[in-house]
Amino acid sequence: MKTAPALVGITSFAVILLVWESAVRFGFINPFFVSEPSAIALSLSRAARSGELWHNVTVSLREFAIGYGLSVVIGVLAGALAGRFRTVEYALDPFLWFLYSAPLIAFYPIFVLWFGLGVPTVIAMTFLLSVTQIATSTLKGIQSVNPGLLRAARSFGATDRDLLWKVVLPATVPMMTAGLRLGIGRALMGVVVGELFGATAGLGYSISYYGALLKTTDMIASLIVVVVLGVLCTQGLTAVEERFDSWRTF
Amino acid sequence: MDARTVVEPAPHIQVESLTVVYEKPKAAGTLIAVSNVNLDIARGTFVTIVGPSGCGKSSLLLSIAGLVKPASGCVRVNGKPVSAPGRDRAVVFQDFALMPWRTVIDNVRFGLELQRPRGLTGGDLTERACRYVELVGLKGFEHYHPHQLSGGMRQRVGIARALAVDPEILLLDEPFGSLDAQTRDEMGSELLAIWERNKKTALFVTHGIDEAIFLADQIVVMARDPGRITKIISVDLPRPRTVETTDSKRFIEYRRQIRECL
Ligand SMILES: Nc1ncnc2c1ncn2[C@@H]1O[C@H](COP(=O)(O)OP(=O)(O)OP(=O)(O)O)[C@@H](O)[C@H]1O
Ligand SMILES: [Mg+2]
Repeated sequence: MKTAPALVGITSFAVILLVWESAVRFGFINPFFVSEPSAIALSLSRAARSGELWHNVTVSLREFAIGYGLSVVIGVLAGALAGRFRTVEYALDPFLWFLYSAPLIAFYPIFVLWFGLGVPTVIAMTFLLSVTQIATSTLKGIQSVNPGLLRAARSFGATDRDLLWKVVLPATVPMMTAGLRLGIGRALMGVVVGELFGATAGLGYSISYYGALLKTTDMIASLIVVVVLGVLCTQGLTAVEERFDSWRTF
Repeated sequence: MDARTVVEPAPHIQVESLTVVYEKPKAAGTLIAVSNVNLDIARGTFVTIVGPSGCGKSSLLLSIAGLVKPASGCVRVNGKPVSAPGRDRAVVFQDFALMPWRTVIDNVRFGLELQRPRGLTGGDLTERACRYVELVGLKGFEHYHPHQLSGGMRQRVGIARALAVDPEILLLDEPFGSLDAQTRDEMGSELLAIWERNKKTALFVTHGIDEAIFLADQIVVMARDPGRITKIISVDLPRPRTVETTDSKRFIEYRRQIRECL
């Protein structure tokens, strides 16, 4: 029975592709606006063979890895310190709220001013968009640790180190990995938005490049690659999450 | 040695004018949960505590465990003031306090892992945990997580975890509260057997009057507002105790006596 959801998902996906393709073929929709699946597939294979696809993917993935990596390190660290020390929590609180509520895309021009057009600005956008999610989830995770469990551990002589490794960390991991997963989506958004304007390579760049040339097919092909990357990264983390999370099924 | 020159041994646990105070929520002042309690518990005795909800039974127990700091007064174990938890004491918590991410066997192993008795390997710890899982009747459930267990089963995991570290003093906070009558009786007899075999000192909180009499050498009766001891009853019933014990005249007399105090 485990295959049923995947089967239904694939079927619905295939049906949509079929409807799309036939709608264009039979002339109900102008391919200029939506292209058609077969043409997109051709465009993808062309880009793959010319090396263009690989180049764009590596550029974007590198920016993603650096920006998201920074987010993970700084977000987890900030969240953990805020969870441990009240003063840090109070100090961070306004920033987290600010980053949470502000339309962060508006930072783009400032970053261009600081870092110029190109890779550093893209990384900065990626970082800015994902760091809040990760920091808040880590903090929430730590705050949700049941004090009764800490007390039980102390009753058996747990040291501060034991408390960290045997209670706080395992109790925090599920919420933290959920934050890391949500952070992936936001980081990818940062990469694409950053590349849309002032980049010279990458998937976001390729979307805006073909968009400007009105090449709908190539544009949608790049868009699909971004979506696939996002799904792969998120699925990877979901797998990790499920490993640590098997007890949280109530 | 002449028996008459042997000095009376110091009590195993001494509670001296213990007062426990909590902050009320929203800075609404303080609440006196335990007020000026004195209690001596001799080594190897089984003491039960009864009293209405909120009379400070758990607070008293947790102070002895070293988990709640007294506002004044002190607790001594073996003559030494208690300031933190120690290997000589283990607690069975009223709310079980099991690690939800650990399986039954790993929860029972938890205390052992933290205390690492000398000379024992990881395998030894697991083996010992296994024995106690069996003892509380959870064989076959070793690899279940707490959320897959019934309340009574969870409670038994908490009991096994405390027994596994083999403490001198067992502090049990309503350990049979979620058990059905039959399991409760079985676990009670098992606990008495362990206690007798290993010469432990046990402090046992319960709401069951019969249970309190059946298990105890001494019954501490508490009252609330403020939490205090109103009576200490010594139970003079022969051991080992059986079903017949509960029908004896004396048993019924103790029951009446406690009802009166409550
Ligand atoms: N951590 C705490 N913070 C504030 N008040 C507390 C705390 N723990 C207990 N109290 C209060 O102290 C009083 C005594 O609580 P305690 O848990 O010791 O009672 P109890 O006799 O064990 O009750 P029960 O039989 O219901 O378990 C209660 O009024 C309770 O509200
Ligand atoms: Mg209680």
